[in-house]
Amino acid sequence: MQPDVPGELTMRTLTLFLALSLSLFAFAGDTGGVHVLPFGPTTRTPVDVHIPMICGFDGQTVARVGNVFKVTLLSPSCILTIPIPYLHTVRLPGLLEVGEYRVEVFLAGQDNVHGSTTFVVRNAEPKPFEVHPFAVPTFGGGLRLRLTGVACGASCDGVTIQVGGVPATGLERAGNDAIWFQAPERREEGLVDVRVQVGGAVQVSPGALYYFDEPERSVFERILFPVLFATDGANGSRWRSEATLSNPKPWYVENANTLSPVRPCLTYPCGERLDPEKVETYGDGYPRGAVLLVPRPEAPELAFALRIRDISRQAEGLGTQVPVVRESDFSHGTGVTLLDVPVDPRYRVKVRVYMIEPLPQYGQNAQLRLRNTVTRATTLTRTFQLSAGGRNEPHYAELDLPAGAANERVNIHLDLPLDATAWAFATVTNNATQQVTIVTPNGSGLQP
Amino acid sequence: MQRFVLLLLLLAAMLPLAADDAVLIVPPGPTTDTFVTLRLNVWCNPIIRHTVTRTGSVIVVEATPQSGTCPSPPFDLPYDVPLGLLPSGQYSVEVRIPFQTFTDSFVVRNAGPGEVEIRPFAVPTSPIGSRVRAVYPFGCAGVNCKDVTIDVGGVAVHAAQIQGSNDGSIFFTPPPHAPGLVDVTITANGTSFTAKNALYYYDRNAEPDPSVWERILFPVLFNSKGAHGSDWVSEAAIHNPGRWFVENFNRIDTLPCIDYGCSDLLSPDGFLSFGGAGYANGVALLVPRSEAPHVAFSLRVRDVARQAEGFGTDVPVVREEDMHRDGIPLTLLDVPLDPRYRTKIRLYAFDDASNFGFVALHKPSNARVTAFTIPMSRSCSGVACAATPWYGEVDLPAGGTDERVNVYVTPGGYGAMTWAFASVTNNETQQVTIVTPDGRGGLPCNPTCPVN
Repeated sequence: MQPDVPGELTMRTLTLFLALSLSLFAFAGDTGGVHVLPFGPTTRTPVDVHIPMICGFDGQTVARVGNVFKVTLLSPSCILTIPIPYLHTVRLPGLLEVGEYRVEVFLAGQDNVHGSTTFVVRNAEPKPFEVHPFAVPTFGGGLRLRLTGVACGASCDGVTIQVGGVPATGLERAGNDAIWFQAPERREEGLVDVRVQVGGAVQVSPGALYYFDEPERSVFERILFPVLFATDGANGSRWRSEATLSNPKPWYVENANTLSPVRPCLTYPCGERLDPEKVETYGDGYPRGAVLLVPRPEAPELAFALRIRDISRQAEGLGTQVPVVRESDFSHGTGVTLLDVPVDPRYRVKVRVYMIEPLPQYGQNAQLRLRNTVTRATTLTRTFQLSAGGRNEPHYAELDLPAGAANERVNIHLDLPLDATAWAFATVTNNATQQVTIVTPNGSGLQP
Repeated sequence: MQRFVLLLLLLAAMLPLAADDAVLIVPPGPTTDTFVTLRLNVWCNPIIRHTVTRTGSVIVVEATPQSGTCPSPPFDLPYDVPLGLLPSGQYSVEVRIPFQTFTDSFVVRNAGPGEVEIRPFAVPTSPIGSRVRAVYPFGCAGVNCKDVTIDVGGVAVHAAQIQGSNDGSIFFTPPPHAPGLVDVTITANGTSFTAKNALYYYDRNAEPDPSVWERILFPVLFNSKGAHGSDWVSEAAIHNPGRWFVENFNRIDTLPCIDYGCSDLLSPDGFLSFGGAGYANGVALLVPRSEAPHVAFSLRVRDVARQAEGFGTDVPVVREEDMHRDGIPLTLLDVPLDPRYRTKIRLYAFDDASNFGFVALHKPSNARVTAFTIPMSRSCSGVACAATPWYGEVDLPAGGTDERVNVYVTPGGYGAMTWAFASVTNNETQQVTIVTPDGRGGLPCNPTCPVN
């Protein structure tokens, strides 16, 4: 065998890279590097498939069989000795109808699937009636659903509701044009139609509900609470976080998890049910941040607030608001930038970095760069990794910045692994008073 | 005469659309990737059906309202007309209902990856100092790009205005051109690449098209003395991380301008920090929508009389996606009424000539504590009004010790684009905590809540 020549394809490098690509594509279901954007597609959003790559290819084909898309990358080849990871994006043809889909990625000439993902397309078209919440646990769990847009009498006689072909029970009038009913149990996860019959008139809302065991990413939005803790700190400080969640709507919302550290989990899935028109509070248990999984149709309606306070000095101030971070606030594949952060020695600065799924396929190293805001020179570069969290926690890293000169300020640039979905913020704490100022990102995080 | 008055009343009752922003484009900055909807802001009789005719870039909607008289009081009845995915172009819309016609226009940007990438999207009709970056399959030969010619909307770019960059892209100065969308064609070694509708020329003296410009709200840009010896300043920063220039429609900074461009022209990797002044009631920076997602911002308010105690408070710079546009009250959760603090609510609204806002205070149990009607105003003229929000503020009355409320704020009418926040200031230390809205939220017991 001849020695490898840089930049030239040889049998050994090809074998190596094919083996590497096999291992890097080796994931199951929708947990690997292949995923769709937007994370929660609807019938009105084009769907892009993101495929992490290290090798080249020469064209592609996209074939659809039912609700399965087969993407075949043609003539895969690796011509570089040092592979450069990149992202290949495939736009699925047309707008998709409501349903559950699967995408399989093949390398031409190979039979096995090298990457795949599944997703749900929600119905964004006008509906004959609305049903909330969208996500229902398969065991039902006594969840009451609210159907709006159909009137019934006091006992709802003459009205029948079918959920995926199963008659619903417990119908009860909920106002002039709304009905409560009991969510029936269902053995399988997935979308179901809801059918309403009033007298001889029948109306159907396709894909109106989704039954779940596992929290499907395209059904549940990840909402990050960056800090939920109660702890004692430096200089006699006693830190508390106060989180508030409001469900202003007249229906229940079934989250796929709970952030309450003391709530017993007796059933599976172990979600948390938000009562209609109620305000909940949290405050402890997740110093590395926590991710709440909220059904996407209901997530925009919920309101959140989070504040951290030093209660040993509560006469001095009410504390500092920390953003509750929705998926749209995360950067995706760009990085994170924090502008105009002081590194004055009177303050201590900590940068907290969060990452949620889908996790990057290639490389786990992230890099922090500090650039002086006046000279624009890079004053510090540090490589770090984010570590996996526990249940309900994001991947996380925190870095304490070294003190700079008096009144010095820097821009913080975080270069993150390819295709990372990330967020970060800095806390600036006065050493004497413990007053906290936070600096949050605003912008896509594109790195200069 | 009596019949005539009756007829006028009847006609008035049949006017189903609100006078301001009768037609909204959703999303406000559509691209070829976004499903476009026309939202008709109906106040009286609901529209029961419509037809859409699209001839080229002219869209005509015939809407039929339900017959009958306007209910008293009238209430919002928005009606959506789906248009679907549209090719890139500049569209005009005509909405016809009995006795009235409303017109609007909007631009659909090309989102698809083409052979040529042109940045930025928007340039002025007299682009002095503007630079456009083009990335195409072949780089140019040498710094002077002698093998490349560029045509912008039928006008050739002078060879001396074309320069190569070390990353393979080329920069050129766009020629003057009439307002509107134009194609850009790059020819190198006999091969031509065309980017359709790649550049949008705008007139600096004309009203900016909201489908091209995103309004980025800086809620407070000021410096002033305050209570208890406080000396407040606001510190803002803007960063353009891209490899291309970004030309904003307006300036909001206080930096001296010696040469053309100044800070409305952000250079690649350009960073600008400035002390805020002159906009105590907030102001919007109008950034081209194609560039806005990448441009980064920060804003902080500080009491420099006490700067040894803390670094101040981060105030969000508010993008349009963070504003509300459907008349639903903004929700500020867990706001203290404790007498140790003074709490001020600030209200902002764009687009809607509403003179009043509404603030309601509710206990955590949802019972209403009190409510206020807030006068809103603004002072501006001409094109500056596009960047000037309607503004109102109210100081909340002190409540009991440790008392907290949820605050529901409605800064404008249904068509208005709104935002609000609360500042909570400690009376002794002047420490400021802010409370901002997150989520659509809204009153938890709409339409009626128990009173106290």
